[in-house]
Amino acid sequence: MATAVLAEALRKRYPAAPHPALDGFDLTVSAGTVHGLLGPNGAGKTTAVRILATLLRPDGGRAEIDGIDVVADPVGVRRRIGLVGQYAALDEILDGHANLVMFGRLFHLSTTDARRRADELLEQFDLVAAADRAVSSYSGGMRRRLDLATSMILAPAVLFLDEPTTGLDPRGRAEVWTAVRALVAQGTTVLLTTQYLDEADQLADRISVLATGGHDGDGGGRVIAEGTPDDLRSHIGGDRVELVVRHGADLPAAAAVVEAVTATVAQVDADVRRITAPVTDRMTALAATVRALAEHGIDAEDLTVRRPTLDEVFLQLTGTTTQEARA
Amino acid sequence: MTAIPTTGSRLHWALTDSLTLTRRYLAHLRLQPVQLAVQVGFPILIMLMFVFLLGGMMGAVPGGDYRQAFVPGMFVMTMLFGLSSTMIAVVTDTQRGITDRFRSMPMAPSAVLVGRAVADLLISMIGLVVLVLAGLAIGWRPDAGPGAVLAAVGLLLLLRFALLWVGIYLGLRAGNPGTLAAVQTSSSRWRSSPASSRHRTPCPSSSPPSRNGTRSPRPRPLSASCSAAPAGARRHGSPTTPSSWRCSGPH
Repeated sequence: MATAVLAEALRKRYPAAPHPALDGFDLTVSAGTVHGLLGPNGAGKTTAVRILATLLRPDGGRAEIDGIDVVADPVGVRRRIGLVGQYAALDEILDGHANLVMFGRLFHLSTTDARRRADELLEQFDLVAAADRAVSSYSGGMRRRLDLATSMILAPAVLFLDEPTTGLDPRGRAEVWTAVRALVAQGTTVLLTTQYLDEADQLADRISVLATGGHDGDGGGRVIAEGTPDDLRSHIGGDRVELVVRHGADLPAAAAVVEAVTATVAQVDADVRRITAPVTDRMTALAATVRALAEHGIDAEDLTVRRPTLDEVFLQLTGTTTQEARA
Repeated sequence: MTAIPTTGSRLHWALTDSLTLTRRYLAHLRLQPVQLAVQVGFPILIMLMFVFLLGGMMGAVPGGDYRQAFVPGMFVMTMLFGLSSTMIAVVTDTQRGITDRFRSMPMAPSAVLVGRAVADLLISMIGLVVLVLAGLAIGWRPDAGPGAVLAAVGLLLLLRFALLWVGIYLGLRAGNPGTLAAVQTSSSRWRSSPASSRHRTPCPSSSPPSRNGTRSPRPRPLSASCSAAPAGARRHGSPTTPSSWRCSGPH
Protein backbone atom coordinates (compact mmCIF):
# COMPACT_ATOMS: atom_id res chain seq x y z
CA MET A 1 0.00 0.00 0.00
CA ALA A 2 1.29 3.47 -0.87
CA THR A 3 2.36 5.79 1.91
CA ALA A 4 0.22 8.95 2.07
CA VAL A 5 1.82 10.64 5.07
CA LEU A 6 5.39 10.13 6.20
CA ALA A 7 7.19 11.86 9.05
CA GLU A 8 10.71 10.99 10.14
CA ALA A 9 12.34 12.30 13.30
CA LEU A 10 10.47 15.62 13.16
CA ARG A 11 11.67 18.16 15.68
CA LYS A 12 10.17 21.53 16.57
CA ARG A 13 10.85 23.83 19.46
CA TYR A 14 8.98 27.08 19.95
CA PRO A 15 11.04 30.06 21.06
CA ALA A 16 10.90 30.53 24.83
CA ALA A 17 9.34 27.09 25.40
CA PRO A 18 11.15 24.98 28.01
CA HIS A 19 10.60 21.71 26.14
CA PRO A 20 10.48 20.88 22.45
CA ALA A 21 6.93 20.49 21.09
CA LEU A 22 8.10 17.64 18.89
CA ASP A 23 11.18 15.59 19.62
CA GLY A 24 11.78 12.83 17.10
CA PHE A 25 8.23 12.38 15.87
CA ASP A 26 7.75 9.45 13.47
CA LEU A 27 4.61 8.61 11.56
CA THR A 28 3.63 6.49 8.58
CA VAL A 29 0.07 6.53 7.27
CA SER A 30 -0.94 4.21 4.43
CA ALA A 31 -3.15 5.64 1.68
CA GLY A 32 -6.87 5.18 2.23
CA THR A 33 -6.66 4.62 5.99
CA VAL A 34 -7.58 6.66 9.04
CA HIS A 35 -4.76 7.24 11.46
CA GLY A 36 -5.49 8.52 14.95
CA LEU A 37 -3.00 10.73 16.79
CA LEU A 38 -3.91 10.38 20.44
CA GLY A 39 -2.47 12.49 23.19
CA PRO A 40 -3.29 15.00 25.90
CA ASN A 41 -3.00 18.77 25.53
CA GLY A 42 0.58 19.80 24.92
CA ALA A 43 1.69 16.46 23.49
CA GLY A 44 2.47 18.08 20.13
CA LYS A 45 -0.49 16.82 18.09
CA THR A 46 -1.35 20.21 16.64
CA THR A 47 2.32 21.03 16.01
CA ALA A 48 2.67 17.81 14.02
CA VAL A 49 -0.42 18.60 11.95
CA ARG A 50 0.71 22.19 11.34
CA ILE A 51 4.09 21.00 10.05
CA LEU A 52 2.46 18.39 7.79
CA ALA A 53 0.01 21.02 6.50
CA THR A 54 2.91 23.41 5.64
CA LEU A 55 1.83 26.02 8.22
CA LEU A 56 4.98 25.54 10.27
CA ARG A 57 8.57 24.69 9.33
CA PRO A 58 10.19 21.87 11.29
CA ASP A 59 13.55 22.46 13.00
CA GLY A 60 14.69 19.03 11.89
CA GLY A 61 13.53 15.78 10.36
CA ARG A 62 11.61 15.16 7.17
CA ALA A 63 7.96 14.97 6.19
CA GLU A 64 6.25 13.98 2.97
CA ILE A 65 2.66 14.03 1.77
CA ASP A 66 2.04 11.68 -1.16
CA GLY A 67 5.79 11.59 -1.70
CA ILE A 68 6.12 15.40 -1.80
CA ASP A 69 8.38 17.10 0.73
CA VAL A 70 6.52 19.65 2.88
CA VAL A 71 9.49 22.01 3.13
CA ALA A 72 10.76 21.76 -0.45
CA ASP A 73 7.39 22.03 -2.22
CA PRO A 74 4.74 23.48 0.10
CA VAL A 75 2.50 24.53 -2.81
CA GLY A 76 2.49 20.99 -4.19
CA VAL A 77 1.52 19.72 -0.76
CA ARG A 78 -1.26 22.31 -0.42
CA ARG A 79 -2.89 20.99 -3.59
CA ARG A 80 -3.15 17.55 -2.00
CA ILE A 81 -4.35 18.30 1.51
CA GLY A 82 -7.40 19.51 3.36
CA LEU A 83 -7.13 20.95 6.85
CA VAL A 84 -9.85 21.10 9.44
CA GLY A 85 -8.47 22.94 12.45
CA GLN A 86 -9.69 23.12 16.01
CA TYR A 87 -12.14 25.90 15.23
CA ALA A 88 -14.49 25.89 12.27
CA ALA A 89 -12.57 28.15 9.87
CA LEU A 90 -15.57 29.67 8.15
CA ASP A 91 -16.85 33.12 7.34
CA GLU A 92 -19.59 33.64 9.93
CA ILE A 93 -21.33 36.42 8.05
CA LEU A 94 -21.65 34.70 4.68
CA ASP A 95 -24.12 31.85 4.19
CA GLY A 96 -23.08 28.23 3.74
CA HIS A 97 -23.27 28.27 -0.04
CA ALA A 98 -21.33 31.53 -0.34
CA ASN A 99 -18.59 30.12 1.92
CA LEU A 100 -18.15 27.09 -0.32
CA VAL A 101 -18.15 29.19 -3.48
CA MET A 102 -15.59 31.60 -2.02
CA PHE A 103 -13.23 28.82 -0.95
CA GLY A 104 -13.85 27.05 -4.27
CA ARG A 105 -12.73 30.18 -6.12
CA LEU A 106 -9.66 30.36 -3.88
CA PHE A 107 -8.93 26.73 -4.83
CA HIS A 108 -8.91 28.17 -8.39
CA LEU A 109 -12.10 26.58 -9.65
CA SER A 110 -14.01 28.54 -12.27
CA THR A 111 -17.12 30.32 -10.96
CA THR A 112 -19.37 27.71 -12.58
CA ASP A 113 -17.37 24.82 -11.16
CA ALA A 114 -17.22 26.43 -7.72
CA ARG A 115 -21.03 26.80 -7.66
CA ARG A 116 -21.59 23.25 -8.89
CA ARG A 117 -19.12 21.84 -6.34
CA ALA A 118 -20.79 23.86 -3.56
CA ASP A 119 -24.17 22.32 -4.45
CA GLU A 120 -22.66 18.83 -4.49
CA LEU A 121 -20.99 19.26 -1.14
CA LEU A 122 -24.06 20.77 0.53
CA GLU A 123 -25.94 17.70 -0.64
CA GLN A 124 -23.22 15.30 0.50
CA PHE A 125 -22.93 16.84 3.97
CA ASP A 126 -26.70 17.17 4.40
CA LEU A 127 -26.67 20.99 4.57
CA VAL A 128 -28.99 21.84 1.67
CA ALA A 129 -31.69 23.21 3.99
CA ALA A 130 -29.18 25.56 5.66
CA ALA A 131 -27.42 26.64 2.44
CA ASP A 132 -28.89 30.16 2.44
CA ARG A 133 -28.45 30.87 6.13
CA ALA A 134 -25.57 32.79 7.65
CA VAL A 135 -23.04 30.44 9.24
CA SER A 136 -23.39 32.33 12.54
CA SER A 137 -26.83 30.69 12.90
CA TYR A 138 -25.44 27.14 12.50
CA SER A 139 -25.15 24.61 15.33
CA GLY A 140 -21.70 23.32 16.30
CA GLY A 141 -22.20 20.08 14.37
CA MET A 142 -23.41 21.92 11.25
CA ARG A 143 -20.41 24.25 11.34
CA ARG A 144 -18.07 21.29 11.56
CA ARG A 145 -19.79 19.60 8.63
CA LEU A 146 -19.52 22.75 6.52
CA ASP A 147 -15.89 22.98 7.63
CA LEU A 148 -15.34 19.41 6.43
CA ALA A 149 -17.16 20.17 3.18
CA THR A 150 -14.87 23.16 2.60
CA SER A 151 -11.76 21.05 3.06
CA MET A 152 -13.17 18.52 0.57
CA ILE A 153 -13.68 20.99 -2.29
CA LEU A 154 -10.73 19.60 -4.26
CA ALA A 155 -11.26 16.05 -2.90
CA PRO A 156 -7.75 16.06 -1.37
CA ALA A 157 -5.69 12.91 -1.06
CA VAL A 158 -5.00 13.57 2.61
CA LEU A 159 -7.31 15.24 5.12
CA PHE A 160 -6.04 16.53 8.47
CA LEU A 161 -8.62 16.69 11.22
CA ASP A 162 -7.28 18.47 14.29
CA GLU A 163 -9.56 17.59 17.20
CA PRO A 164 -12.67 17.74 15.03
CA THR A 165 -15.16 17.12 17.83
CA THR A 166 -13.68 19.17 20.66
CA GLY A 167 -16.42 21.34 22.13
CA LEU A 168 -19.27 19.53 20.40
CA ASP A 169 -22.25 17.94 22.14
CA PRO A 170 -22.79 14.18 21.64
CA ARG A 171 -25.16 14.80 18.76
CA GLY A 172 -22.65 17.05 17.01
CA ARG A 173 -19.92 14.45 17.52
CA ALA A 174 -22.08 11.73 15.98
CA GLU A 175 -22.77 14.00 12.98
CA VAL A 176 -19.07 14.61 12.44
CA TRP A 177 -18.20 10.94 12.82
CA THR A 178 -20.78 10.00 10.20
CA ALA A 179 -19.37 12.61 7.81
CA VAL A 180 -15.79 11.42 8.36
CA ARG A 181 -16.76 7.79 7.75
CA ALA A 182 -18.41 8.80 4.48
CA LEU A 183 -15.19 10.53 3.36
CA VAL A 184 -13.09 7.52 4.24
CA ALA A 185 -15.45 5.30 2.24
CA GLN A 186 -14.52 7.44 -0.79
CA GLY A 187 -10.84 6.67 -0.27
CA THR A 188 -9.58 9.79 1.49
CA THR A 189 -6.62 9.29 3.82
CA VAL A 190 -7.35 10.89 7.18
CA LEU A 191 -4.98 11.94 9.93
CA LEU A 192 -7.09 12.61 13.00
CA THR A 193 -5.87 14.10 16.26
CA THR A 194 -7.95 13.62 19.35
CA GLN A 195 -7.90 13.60 23.11
CA TYR A 196 -10.68 11.04 23.24
CA LEU A 197 -9.84 7.37 23.26
CA ASP A 198 -13.32 6.39 22.09
CA GLU A 199 -13.06 8.74 19.10
CA ALA A 200 -9.79 7.17 17.97
CA ASP A 201 -11.33 3.76 18.63
CA GLN A 202 -14.43 4.57 16.56
CA LEU A 203 -12.73 6.09 13.54
CA ALA A 204 -9.10 5.04 13.28
CA ASP A 205 -7.56 2.01 11.60
CA ARG A 206 -4.33 2.65 13.45
CA ILE A 207 -3.49 4.81 16.44
CA SER A 208 -0.27 6.55 17.49
CA VAL A 209 -0.07 7.64 21.11
CA LEU A 210 1.97 10.76 21.81
CA ALA A 211 3.66 11.21 25.15
CA THR A 212 3.07 14.37 27.06
CA GLY A 213 6.20 16.42 27.61
CA GLY A 214 7.44 18.36 30.57
CA HIS A 215 6.87 16.04 33.54
CA ASP A 216 10.40 14.77 33.89
CA GLY A 217 12.09 16.78 31.19
CA ASP A 218 11.82 14.16 28.48
CA GLY A 219 9.32 11.99 26.66
CA GLY A 220 7.37 14.85 25.07
CA GLY A 221 6.49 15.06 21.40
CA ARG A 222 7.32 11.45 20.61
CA VAL A 223 5.17 8.49 19.67
CA ILE A 224 5.25 6.05 22.58
CA ALA A 225 2.91 3.42 21.18
CA GLU A 226 1.56 2.62 17.73
CA GLY A 227 -0.84 -0.03 16.48
CA THR A 228 -4.42 -0.93 15.69
CA PRO A 229 -7.05 -0.08 18.30
CA ASP A 230 -7.12 -3.78 19.21
CA ASP A 231 -3.33 -3.90 19.67
CA LEU A 232 -3.53 -0.87 21.85
CA ARG A 233 -6.38 -2.24 23.88
CA SER A 234 -4.62 -5.52 24.58
CA HIS A 235 -1.51 -3.51 25.45
CA ILE A 236 -3.28 -1.33 27.96
CA GLY A 237 -5.61 -3.93 29.37
CA GLY A 238 -8.86 -3.03 27.64
CA ASP A 239 -11.95 -1.86 29.49
CA ARG A 240 -12.42 -1.26 33.17
CA VAL A 241 -15.21 -2.47 35.43
CA GLU A 242 -16.05 0.11 38.06
CA LEU A 243 -18.08 -0.74 41.17
CA VAL A 244 -19.26 1.66 43.85
CA VAL A 245 -20.58 -0.04 47.02
CA ARG A 246 -23.19 1.54 49.29
CA HIS A 247 -21.44 0.71 52.58
CA GLY A 248 -17.73 1.21 53.14
CA ALA A 249 -17.63 -1.97 55.27
CA ASP A 250 -18.41 -4.04 52.19
CA LEU A 251 -15.29 -2.86 50.36
CA PRO A 252 -12.94 -5.78 51.16
CA ALA A 253 -15.61 -8.37 50.31
CA ALA A 254 -16.58 -6.52 47.13
CA ALA A 255 -12.94 -6.22 46.06
CA ALA A 256 -12.54 -9.97 46.53
CA VAL A 257 -15.63 -10.56 44.35
CA VAL A 258 -14.34 -8.28 41.57
CA GLU A 259 -10.89 -9.87 41.68
CA ALA A 260 -12.41 -13.35 41.50
CA VAL A 261 -14.53 -12.42 38.48
CA THR A 262 -11.86 -10.52 36.52
CA ALA A 263 -8.90 -12.61 37.68
CA THR A 264 -6.86 -9.43 38.13
CA VAL A 265 -5.79 -7.13 40.94
CA ALA A 266 -8.45 -4.53 41.70
CA GLN A 267 -7.71 -0.93 42.66
CA VAL A 268 -9.68 0.16 45.73
CA ASP A 269 -10.44 3.81 46.39
CA ALA A 270 -11.84 3.82 49.94
CA ASP A 271 -12.74 7.54 49.95
CA VAL A 272 -15.39 7.13 47.27
CA ARG A 273 -16.08 3.42 48.03
CA ARG A 274 -14.98 2.52 44.49
CA ILE A 275 -13.32 -0.60 43.10
CA THR A 276 -11.78 -0.62 39.62
CA ALA A 277 -10.36 -3.57 37.68
CA PRO A 278 -9.44 -4.25 34.06
CA VAL A 279 -11.66 -6.71 32.15
CA THR A 280 -11.25 -8.51 28.86
CA ASP A 281 -14.86 -9.35 28.01
CA ARG A 282 -17.11 -6.46 29.01
CA MET A 283 -20.53 -8.10 29.10
CA THR A 284 -19.48 -11.42 30.66
CA ALA A 285 -17.62 -9.57 33.38
CA LEU A 286 -20.57 -7.29 34.05
CA ALA A 287 -23.07 -10.17 34.31
CA ALA A 288 -20.73 -12.26 36.48
CA THR A 289 -20.09 -9.34 38.83
CA VAL A 290 -23.81 -8.67 39.25
CA ARG A 291 -24.44 -12.35 40.05
CA ALA A 292 -21.54 -12.60 42.50
CA LEU A 293 -22.56 -9.41 44.31
CA ALA A 294 -26.11 -10.74 44.74
CA GLU A 295 -24.79 -14.07 46.07
CA HIS A 296 -22.64 -12.32 48.67
CA GLY A 297 -25.43 -9.90 49.58
CA ILE A 298 -23.29 -6.81 48.78
CA ASP A 299 -25.27 -3.64 48.16
CA ALA A 300 -23.94 -1.86 45.06
CA GLU A 301 -24.63 1.80 44.37
CA ASP A 302 -23.27 1.80 40.85
CA LEU A 303 -21.71 -0.69 38.46
CA THR A 304 -20.38 0.22 35.04
CA VAL A 305 -17.97 -1.00 32.41
CA ARG A 306 -16.08 1.82 30.74
CA ARG A 307 -13.17 2.53 28.46
CA PRO A 308 -9.92 3.40 30.18
CA THR A 309 -9.34 7.13 30.42
CA LEU A 310 -6.41 8.74 28.67
CA ASP A 311 -4.74 9.09 32.08
CA GLU A 312 -4.98 5.35 32.66
CA VAL A 313 -3.62 4.66 29.18
CA PHE A 314 -0.62 6.86 29.84
CA LEU A 315 -0.02 5.36 33.25
CA GLN A 316 -0.08 1.95 31.68
CA LEU A 317 2.08 2.89 28.70
CA THR A 318 4.72 4.83 30.54
CA GLY A 319 4.72 2.20 33.30
CA THR A 320 5.33 -0.48 30.72
CA THR A 321 8.15 1.40 29.04
CA THR A 322 9.95 1.97 32.34
CA GLN A 323 9.72 -1.74 33.11
CA GLU A 324 11.10 -2.56 29.67
CA ALA A 325 13.90 -0.10 30.23
CA ARG A 326 14.79 -1.78 33.53
CA ALA A 327 14.76 -5.30 32.06
CA MET B 1 -17.60 14.80 -9.41
CA THR B 2 -14.05 15.94 -8.79
CA ALA B 3 -13.59 19.53 -9.85
CA ILE B 4 -10.39 20.37 -11.67
CA PRO B 5 -8.76 23.72 -10.90
CA THR B 6 -8.20 25.96 -13.89
CA THR B 7 -4.67 27.02 -14.69
CA GLY B 8 -3.15 30.46 -15.06
CA SER B 9 -0.06 32.53 -14.34
CA ARG B 10 0.98 33.51 -10.83
CA LEU B 11 0.09 37.14 -11.39
CA HIS B 12 -3.29 36.16 -12.75
CA TRP B 13 -4.06 34.18 -9.62
CA ALA B 14 -2.67 36.81 -7.27
CA LEU B 15 -5.14 39.29 -8.81
CA THR B 16 -8.07 36.85 -9.02
CA ASP B 17 -7.61 35.66 -5.42
CA SER B 18 -7.34 39.24 -4.18
CA LEU B 19 -10.54 40.08 -6.01
CA THR B 20 -12.30 37.05 -4.50
CA LEU B 21 -11.35 38.21 -1.01
CA THR B 22 -12.17 41.85 -1.68
CA ARG B 23 -15.61 40.68 -2.73
CA ARG B 24 -15.86 38.69 0.48
CA TYR B 25 -15.36 41.83 2.59
CA LEU B 26 -17.71 43.87 0.45
CA ALA B 27 -20.33 41.10 0.81
CA HIS B 28 -19.99 41.58 4.58
CA LEU B 29 -21.05 45.20 4.17
CA ARG B 30 -24.03 44.20 2.07
CA LEU B 31 -25.07 41.61 4.66
CA GLN B 32 -24.47 43.92 7.61
CA PRO B 33 -25.81 47.32 6.53
CA VAL B 34 -26.13 48.43 10.14
CA GLN B 35 -22.40 48.03 10.69
CA LEU B 36 -21.66 50.06 7.57
CA ALA B 37 -24.07 52.75 8.75
CA VAL B 38 -22.34 52.88 12.15
CA GLN B 39 -18.88 52.99 10.57
CA VAL B 40 -19.85 55.80 8.22
CA GLY B 41 -22.27 57.56 10.55
CA PHE B 42 -20.16 57.71 13.70
CA PRO B 43 -17.75 60.42 12.50
CA ILE B 44 -20.76 62.42 11.27
CA LEU B 45 -22.31 62.13 14.70
CA ILE B 46 -19.09 63.36 16.35
CA MET B 47 -18.93 66.21 13.87
CA LEU B 48 -22.51 67.26 14.54
CA MET B 49 -21.90 67.04 18.28
CA PHE B 50 -18.83 69.24 18.16
CA VAL B 51 -20.26 71.80 15.83
CA PHE B 52 -23.77 72.16 17.16
CA LEU B 53 -23.58 70.92 20.76
CA LEU B 54 -20.19 72.26 21.78
CA GLY B 55 -19.38 74.56 18.88
CA GLY B 56 -21.04 77.55 20.52
CA MET B 57 -18.28 77.65 23.12
CA MET B 58 -15.49 77.81 20.59
CA GLY B 59 -16.24 81.31 19.49
CA ALA B 60 -14.08 82.80 16.78
CA VAL B 61 -10.81 81.08 15.97
CA PRO B 62 -7.94 82.76 14.18
CA GLY B 63 -8.55 82.58 10.49
CA GLY B 64 -12.30 82.33 10.55
CA ASP B 65 -15.02 79.88 11.45
CA TYR B 66 -14.36 77.00 13.83
CA ARG B 67 -15.87 74.61 11.30
CA GLN B 68 -13.20 75.47 8.75
CA ALA B 69 -10.63 73.97 11.09
CA PHE B 70 -12.71 71.28 12.67
CA VAL B 71 -14.21 69.50 9.65
CA PRO B 72 -10.84 68.75 7.93
CA GLY B 73 -9.56 67.58 11.32
CA MET B 74 -12.44 65.12 11.39
CA PHE B 75 -11.38 63.78 7.97
CA VAL B 76 -7.89 63.04 9.24
CA MET B 77 -9.14 61.45 12.45
CA THR B 78 -11.52 59.22 10.55
CA MET B 79 -8.66 57.97 8.43
CA LEU B 80 -6.61 57.30 11.59
CA PHE B 81 -9.50 55.53 13.23
CA GLY B 82 -9.69 53.06 10.34
CA LEU B 83 -6.55 51.43 11.80
CA SER B 84 -8.51 49.66 14.49
CA SER B 85 -11.24 48.36 12.18
CA THR B 86 -8.57 46.82 9.93
CA MET B 87 -6.91 45.29 12.95
CA ILE B 88 -10.16 43.86 14.33
CA ALA B 89 -10.88 42.18 11.00
CA VAL B 90 -7.39 40.66 10.79
CA VAL B 91 -7.45 39.40 14.38
CA THR B 92 -10.94 37.91 13.92
CA ASP B 93 -9.82 35.92 10.86
CA THR B 94 -6.71 34.70 12.67
CA GLN B 95 -8.63 33.61 15.75
CA ARG B 96 -11.27 31.78 13.75
CA GLY B 97 -8.55 29.84 11.96
CA ILE B 98 -9.53 31.30 8.59
CA THR B 99 -6.04 32.70 8.04
CA ASP B 100 -4.60 29.20 8.67
CA ARG B 101 -7.04 27.71 6.20
CA PHE B 102 -6.01 30.27 3.57
CA ARG B 103 -2.37 29.46 4.24
CA SER B 104 -2.98 25.73 3.83
CA MET B 105 -4.62 26.30 0.43
CA PRO B 106 -2.86 26.56 -2.93
CA MET B 107 -3.97 30.19 -3.33
CA ALA B 108 -1.75 33.26 -3.74
CA PRO B 109 -0.55 34.12 -0.19
CA SER B 110 -0.45 37.85 -0.99
CA ALA B 111 -4.17 37.84 -1.76
CA VAL B 112 -5.09 37.61 1.93
CA LEU B 113 -3.44 40.97 2.58
CA VAL B 114 -4.21 42.66 -0.73
CA GLY B 115 -7.88 41.70 -0.57
CA ARG B 116 -8.14 43.16 2.92
CA ALA B 117 -6.30 46.35 1.93
CA VAL B 118 -8.37 47.01 -1.19
CA ALA B 119 -11.66 46.37 0.59
CA ASP B 120 -10.75 48.62 3.53
CA LEU B 121 -9.66 51.38 1.18
CA LEU B 122 -12.95 51.15 -0.72
CA ILE B 123 -14.93 51.32 2.52
CA SER B 124 -12.86 54.32 3.63
CA MET B 125 -13.54 56.04 0.30
CA ILE B 126 -17.28 55.63 0.80
CA GLY B 127 -16.96 56.91 4.37
CA LEU B 128 -14.84 59.87 3.30
CA VAL B 129 -17.19 60.91 0.50
CA VAL B 130 -20.17 60.80 2.87
CA LEU B 131 -18.25 62.73 5.50
CA VAL B 132 -17.19 65.43 2.99
CA LEU B 133 -20.81 65.80 1.92
CA ALA B 134 -21.89 66.03 5.55
CA GLY B 135 -19.20 68.67 6.16
CA LEU B 136 -20.41 70.71 3.22
CA ALA B 137 -23.97 70.36 4.50
CA ILE B 138 -23.11 71.87 7.89
CA GLY B 139 -21.33 74.83 6.37
CA TRP B 140 -17.71 73.83 5.82
CA ARG B 141 -16.35 75.44 2.68
CA PRO B 142 -12.96 74.42 1.27
CA ASP B 143 -10.93 77.58 0.66
CA ALA B 144 -8.84 76.09 -2.16
CA GLY B 145 -9.56 75.15 -5.74
CA PRO B 146 -11.02 71.80 -6.79
CA GLY B 147 -7.58 70.49 -7.78
CA ALA B 148 -6.17 71.12 -4.33
CA VAL B 149 -9.24 69.59 -2.69
CA LEU B 150 -8.86 66.43 -4.78
CA ALA B 151 -5.17 66.29 -3.92
CA ALA B 152 -6.09 66.59 -0.24
CA VAL B 153 -8.57 63.72 -0.56
CA GLY B 154 -5.82 61.71 -2.26
CA LEU B 155 -3.47 62.43 0.65
CA LEU B 156 -6.15 61.38 3.13
CA LEU B 157 -6.64 58.07 1.32
CA LEU B 158 -2.89 57.60 1.14
CA LEU B 159 -2.73 58.08 4.90
CA ARG B 160 -5.46 55.47 5.33
CA PHE B 161 -3.66 53.12 2.95
CA ALA B 162 -0.38 53.50 4.82
CA LEU B 163 -1.97 52.96 8.23
CA LEU B 164 -3.94 50.02 6.90
CA TRP B 165 -0.70 48.05 6.59
CA VAL B 166 0.20 49.03 10.13
CA GLY B 167 -3.19 47.65 11.17
CA ILE B 168 -2.66 44.41 9.24
CA TYR B 169 0.83 44.04 10.71
CA LEU B 170 -0.33 44.69 14.27
CA GLY B 171 -3.32 42.39 13.78
CA LEU B 172 -1.12 39.55 12.58
CA ARG B 173 1.45 40.13 15.31
CA ALA B 174 -0.98 40.64 18.14
CA GLY B 175 -3.55 37.95 17.55
CA ASN B 176 -5.20 38.63 20.89
CA PRO B 177 -7.98 40.95 21.99
CA GLY B 178 -5.89 42.66 24.70
CA THR B 179 -3.61 44.43 22.24
CA LEU B 180 -6.66 45.25 20.22
CA ALA B 181 -8.25 47.08 23.11
CA ALA B 182 -5.04 49.07 23.61
CA VAL B 183 -5.00 50.21 19.99
CA GLN B 184 -8.65 51.16 20.06
CA THR B 185 -8.04 53.22 23.18
CA SER B 186 -5.03 55.03 21.79
CA SER B 187 -6.62 55.69 18.42
CA SER B 188 -9.61 57.26 20.15
CA ARG B 189 -7.19 59.46 22.12
CA TRP B 190 -5.72 60.73 18.89
CA ARG B 191 -9.24 61.54 17.94
CA SER B 192 -9.57 63.73 20.94
CA SER B 193 -6.64 66.02 20.24
CA PRO B 194 -6.48 67.49 16.70
CA ALA B 195 -9.25 70.06 17.17
CA SER B 196 -7.30 71.78 19.91
CA SER B 197 -3.74 71.11 18.76
CA ARG B 198 -4.63 72.72 15.46
CA HIS B 199 -4.71 75.99 17.39
CA ARG B 200 -1.79 75.16 19.64
CA THR B 201 -3.94 75.23 22.73
CA PRO B 202 -2.54 72.75 25.20
CA CYS B 203 -4.99 70.14 26.32
CA PRO B 204 -4.91 69.68 30.11
CA SER B 205 -4.23 65.98 29.60
CA SER B 206 -5.03 63.57 26.88
CA SER B 207 -6.90 61.56 29.48
CA PRO B 208 -7.75 63.72 32.45
CA PRO B 209 -8.48 62.25 35.86
CA SER B 210 -12.14 61.72 36.38
CA ARG B 211 -13.87 62.84 39.53
CA ASN B 212 -12.75 59.90 41.63
CA GLY B 213 -9.16 60.52 40.63
CA THR B 214 -8.63 57.45 38.46
CA ARG B 215 -7.84 57.59 34.79
CA SER B 216 -10.86 57.26 32.66
CA PRO B 217 -11.26 53.59 31.73
CA ARG B 218 -13.11 54.41 28.54
CA PRO B 219 -11.71 57.50 26.85
CA ARG B 220 -14.47 57.37 24.28
CA PRO B 221 -15.82 60.35 22.33
CA LEU B 222 -16.89 62.09 25.53
CA SER B 223 -13.25 62.47 26.50
CA ALA B 224 -12.87 64.66 23.45
CA SER B 225 -14.88 67.29 25.23
CA CYS B 226 -12.00 67.74 27.66
CA SER B 227 -9.64 68.94 25.01
CA ALA B 228 -12.08 71.25 23.35
CA ALA B 229 -14.12 72.65 26.21
CA PRO B 230 -11.41 74.18 28.43
CA ALA B 231 -9.70 75.64 25.38
CA GLY B 232 -12.82 77.44 24.37
CA ALA B 233 -13.68 78.32 27.93
CA ARG B 234 -10.34 79.95 28.52
CA ARG B 235 -10.71 82.01 25.45
CA HIS B 236 -14.07 83.18 26.69
CA GLY B 237 -12.50 83.84 30.05
CA SER B 238 -15.37 82.05 31.65
CA PRO B 239 -14.61 80.49 35.01
CA THR B 240 -17.95 78.77 35.10
CA THR B 241 -17.37 75.92 32.66
CA PRO B 242 -19.59 73.10 33.88
CA SER B 243 -17.29 70.75 35.71
CA SER B 244 -18.99 67.73 34.20
CA TRP B 245 -17.56 68.73 30.83
CA ARG B 246 -14.06 68.84 32.08
CA CYS B 247 -14.34 65.37 33.52
CA SER B 248 -14.52 62.82 30.85
CA GLY B 249 -15.55 59.70 32.72
CA PRO B 250 -18.63 57.94 31.44
CA HIS B 251 -21.45 59.62 33.28
